[in-house]
Amino acid sequence: MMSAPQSASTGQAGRTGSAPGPALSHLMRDLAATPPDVWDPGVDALALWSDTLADVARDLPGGRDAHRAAEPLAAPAQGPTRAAIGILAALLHGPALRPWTGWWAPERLTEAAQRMVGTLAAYVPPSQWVADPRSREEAARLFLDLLGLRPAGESEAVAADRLTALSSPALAAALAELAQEQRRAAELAAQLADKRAREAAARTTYV
Amino acid sequence: MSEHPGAAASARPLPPHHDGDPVLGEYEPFADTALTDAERWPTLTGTGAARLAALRAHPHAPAWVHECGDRLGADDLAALAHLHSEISGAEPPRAGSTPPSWVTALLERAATTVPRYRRTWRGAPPAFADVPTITRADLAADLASFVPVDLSLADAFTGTSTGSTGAALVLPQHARTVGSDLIQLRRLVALAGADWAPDPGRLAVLSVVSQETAFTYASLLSAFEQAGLARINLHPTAWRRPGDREAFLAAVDPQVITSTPSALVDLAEVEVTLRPVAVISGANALSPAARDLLRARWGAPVVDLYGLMETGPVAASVDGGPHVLLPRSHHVEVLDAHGRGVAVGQRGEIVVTSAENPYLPLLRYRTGDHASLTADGALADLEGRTPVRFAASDGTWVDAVGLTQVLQAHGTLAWHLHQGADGELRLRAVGGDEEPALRSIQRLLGRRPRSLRLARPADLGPGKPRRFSSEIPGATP
Repeated sequence: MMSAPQSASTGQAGRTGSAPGPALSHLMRDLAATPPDVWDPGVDALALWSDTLADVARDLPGGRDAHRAAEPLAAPAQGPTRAAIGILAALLHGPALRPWTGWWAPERLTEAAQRMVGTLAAYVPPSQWVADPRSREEAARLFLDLLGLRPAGESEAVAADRLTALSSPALAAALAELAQEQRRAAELAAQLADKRAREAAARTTYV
Repeated sequence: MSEHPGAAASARPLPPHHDGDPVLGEYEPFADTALTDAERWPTLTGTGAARLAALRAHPHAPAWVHECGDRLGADDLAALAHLHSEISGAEPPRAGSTPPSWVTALLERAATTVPRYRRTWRGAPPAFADVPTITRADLAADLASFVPVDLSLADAFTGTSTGSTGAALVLPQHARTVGSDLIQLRRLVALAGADWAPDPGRLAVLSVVSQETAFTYASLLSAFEQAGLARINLHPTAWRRPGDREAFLAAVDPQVITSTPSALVDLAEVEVTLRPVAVISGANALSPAARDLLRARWGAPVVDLYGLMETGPVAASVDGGPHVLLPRSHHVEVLDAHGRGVAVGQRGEIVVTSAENPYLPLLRYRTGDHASLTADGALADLEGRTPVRFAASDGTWVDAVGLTQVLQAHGTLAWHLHQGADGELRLRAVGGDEEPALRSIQRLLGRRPRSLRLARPADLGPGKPRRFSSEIPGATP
């Protein structure tokens, strides 16, 4: 068991520096051991994610519950790749990541899941995250990266290189797309908050 | 313009429940102005500038609290002039299941540039009928995923829904899209049989609100020979001296009055003679009684406009009949509970696909509003935009917009406020600061709601969130 890590920031998930995490092999073993329940179409993926946040995220300030933090996954939880949410929930409960329980803000976990579901799953079906060794390593490395961690024993540079080197053209495209969307979301938020944009324009109708 | 609260300057005392709420204190007059006049009206002429200066400095003008132009450049004006000639005699499009040809190009564009869709479609969109519908909650949860990644945002500005019915949103807007509303109005006024041409002696458009706090401004319409536009607030605190409101209205002699049903009814009660060529009602449903009242008061046609901030105006009823679609890049469907197009005469939810706003193309956007599809592709018996006002303990009415302002200012994510026949209030809410929000409501209404906290917006019930309801007679004017 590793020593207790310090809490992660509440900042955006993404490739902005990382802390030492679990051994990659342990995380991949947890992925391979994903319980079959995640494929059950009757599973309420959003409720499962809420429960996961309650179990593994840092305590919410003011006693807020985890439902609100899970809300951004409401649409993906109804979508064709919703099993990915179950896989990530199982991974967060697994032995490899257990020492990091309480480390992440719930919003950060949700955003990482959004990225995994919204970007990686678009290229690599969640079933392959479990069944295919190469895809398993891609999923494990990317999830760690989004969580602000890197595989144990790897420097930041090595972890980044291996993620890039491992990347299939599809995953490389996914990572580039992810980075573009992150930049774009920040740009949109900044633009809408800008005073010049807030002055808005005169309207002749009420709708 | 959004319904940002703007503190209205006044030396007179306010009724007790109209004390400015401290939570709205950040909204100072002119706090959100940042542009120069040359940026507000890029083609501003000397004549236009003089007209604007006269409006701003009118001796009876309200205490303006904002500045706002139309941001239309020469290219935009040329495009709008083309649109005007193109749609003036155009037949209205028809609502229904068959998408127009431009929808194919919109799908292809979404599949490659809109994150939400390219993640799934990878450049190969499905048939239109298989495109999943989206809701306001989807935009609220992840707006950026609906904004194309290949457009510069440098000229985007904000649009905010009024908060009178559905969930409020802040969206990126484009000047040409917002400016095209005027072109649509010109067509509707002509359809109503009225003549509307720029008249240097009259205000072209009077935009009216009637609430405790609101942005007001003097402006110009670049696409209408830089004729005047004024947004005023009928609330007494928005004016500098008693009598100014009536004197200003008489002096500017507005050609077209645009507002919400409740503010139009309030304006009809103001003792001043106006002679508008047309009256435009929007935002909420216009009841037949209110329509008759307005028509009788001013002897002008009354147009009921239907739309959402997300889509812009969608349809209009010029004569009290069904709402006929506007000639815009909108495809309107009426879908049943299973997402299938309804037959003529059947009711369903209005779902809009729109290419109007380049920053926010919408594919099968569920409005939460319902209507019946008519044989000629119009929308009959539109419902879902019912305005609500609340009875304060002193017997006065308080518009729901004021409650939206304080609830949003306290960070409330979603809510439903209900007033029973006995005046008691019940608030069901998600997120935000509970106790301060309750105190703000009490300050406005003189009553403290019973409060129930909910975990997520979906707990408020299915469909478009109903923010307000009341059992008190007269609460829905």
